[in-house]
Amino acid sequence: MQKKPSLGFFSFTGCSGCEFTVLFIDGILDILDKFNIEYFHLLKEKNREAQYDLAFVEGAITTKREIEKLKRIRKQSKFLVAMGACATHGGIPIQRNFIEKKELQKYVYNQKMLKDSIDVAPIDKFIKVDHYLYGCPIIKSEFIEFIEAYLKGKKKEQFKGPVCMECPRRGKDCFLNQGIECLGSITQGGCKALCTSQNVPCTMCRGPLESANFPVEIKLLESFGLSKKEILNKLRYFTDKVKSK
Amino acid sequence: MKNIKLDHVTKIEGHAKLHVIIDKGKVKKADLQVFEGSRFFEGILKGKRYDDLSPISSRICGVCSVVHAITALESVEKAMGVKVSKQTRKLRQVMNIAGTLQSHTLHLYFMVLPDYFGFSNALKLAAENKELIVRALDLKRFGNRIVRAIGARDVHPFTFVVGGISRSPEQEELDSILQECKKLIPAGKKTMELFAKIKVPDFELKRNYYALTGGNYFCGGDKITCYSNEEISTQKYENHVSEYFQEGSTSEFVMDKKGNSYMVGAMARILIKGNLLSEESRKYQKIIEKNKFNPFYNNLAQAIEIFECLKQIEKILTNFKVKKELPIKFKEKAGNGIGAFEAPRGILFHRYTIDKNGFCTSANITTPTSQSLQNLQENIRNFLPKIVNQSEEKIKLMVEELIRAYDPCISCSTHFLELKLERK
Repeated sequence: MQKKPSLGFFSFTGCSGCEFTVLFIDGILDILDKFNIEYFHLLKEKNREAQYDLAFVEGAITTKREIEKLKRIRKQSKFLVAMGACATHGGIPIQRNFIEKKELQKYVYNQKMLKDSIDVAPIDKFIKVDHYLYGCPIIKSEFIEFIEAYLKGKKKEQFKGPVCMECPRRGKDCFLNQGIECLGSITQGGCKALCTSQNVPCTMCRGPLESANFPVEIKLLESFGLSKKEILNKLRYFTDKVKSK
Repeated sequence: MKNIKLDHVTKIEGHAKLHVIIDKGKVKKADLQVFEGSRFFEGILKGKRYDDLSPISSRICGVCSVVHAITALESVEKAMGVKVSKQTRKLRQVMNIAGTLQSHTLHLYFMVLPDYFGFSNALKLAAENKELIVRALDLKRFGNRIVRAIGARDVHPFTFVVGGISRSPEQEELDSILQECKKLIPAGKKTMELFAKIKVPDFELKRNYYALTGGNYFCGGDKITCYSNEEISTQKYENHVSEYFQEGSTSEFVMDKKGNSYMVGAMARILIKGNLLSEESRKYQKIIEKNKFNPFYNNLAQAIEIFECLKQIEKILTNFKVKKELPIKFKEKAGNGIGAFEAPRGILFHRYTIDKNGFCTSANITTPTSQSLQNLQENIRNFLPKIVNQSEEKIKLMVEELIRAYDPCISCSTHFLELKLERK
């Protein structure tokens, strides 16, 4: 019998929602059984540091200590996947970077901790990432497709194009035509337009497309009557890529 | 002097660390340290528009995203005087119960049971005991299915908005869920039987319990009832409790104003409002009442609640006819609102102050884990002397079992459990 590939799940600062999404997959135990699980603290005791054929990293990086751990995991891993918005773009925790320093002081109760703290960042600020699973949380089917390809020795292609490409409202009742702020047109697609298909505008949880033109987007949202503050709040939900002018 | 370094406590949500010093057979120190890079949620929420508060606070925790999302909505709706439809209220209740079912199932079958069966993890247990794991997976899948039917996603559901729901669930799906619920009730019964048989350590420490009363068992109402018989209006909870930070920890610890700790969650609910539950779980509830100060029984309490989740879902969905509704219309209004729900681990409070333009000017979130943490710490301190002469490995296992009985959800109160044991 062929040796099973070794697998690790690592979690930094976030809500663990992506690890839970993985555990919520139907048939997850059969999937995990194809691997030697070396590290998954949510599921097992005796997690050991080892060499990993495949590593999933969840959460944003918020401390110097986390940077060191992340770098160590990278060295130990042959193939590393950023799992979920916190790891790929900083996610909700990155909103912390926009709290004014004076305001932030009110929430700091431990100076030692502050010393260790850095601006919140996605993991690829510090290490090379081999594959991205986008979303807050990740999409189960994308996780499964990735694993299936991996086990066949193939690399799953990243989806190319905006959320609009899969949106059922496209050309019919597009939110933008109704003056409702939807970020689908500048957001990395592949989620089958889950939110817009349920009457909820896209909030860019999968991060912006490389081609996203923020100045144009800001003008568009201004034309909907949104204030500058509202617009920046929208564009900085899951990422800090949008700078104020 | 013996110095035992125990790695971070596993099979709980998030990360925490426990530093224990034992000097000549006496416990000198046992401090729970919970820390991760803080996310400053209350700071993030300030300055955000009313409709962003629920989606952002849902991300506090991937396990209890359901209840964070709806508690935030309730708080915003109270602040702005928005009254939602009866159907919305019922759907939120069903989704909350399903969230509790998801959480308890995962905790009991995947994190607690392997301990008692002597397996280091659920995968090993699965290989040995197919029947158990099939039952666990059925229950978990069912909870997920409901959250998906109503909230469109099993983690961070997003269809509930201020004023209602973005789209009504399908009648056909709810009918089919009701059928599956009836089929699963025996699995709920077996869960109670199983956890009633498990032998837990003999340990007692007198404590107070808090639960929400004046409404549905799983969601709660407008009052907090304490086991000590005191009653507090949920709208005044901030006057009754104090939050503090412990040295070396980034988590909030909560106590009452007199400095007493308390426990919230399944055991608290059963002890305070077990009368709202069904006759069929009565004999198991009695076991809880008999062992009311032994926190290890929280696992059995959760098992009873798994069964009761199914019973309540059955009750609400029987003859439930979905009306196609849109969220109600409202205007932004200044106000202060407190939302309170029974989360899987106990009472969750969200309090927001909203200005006249609909922006949040102050936020306060008090999670169940931060409320039970002080009580957990006191229990560890009192439990350790009983096991201090055991082997290091055994101490670690038993302390972890105690911690897991509380089912702490560390993301909620932040993240990291490393157990450091020093013997002098």
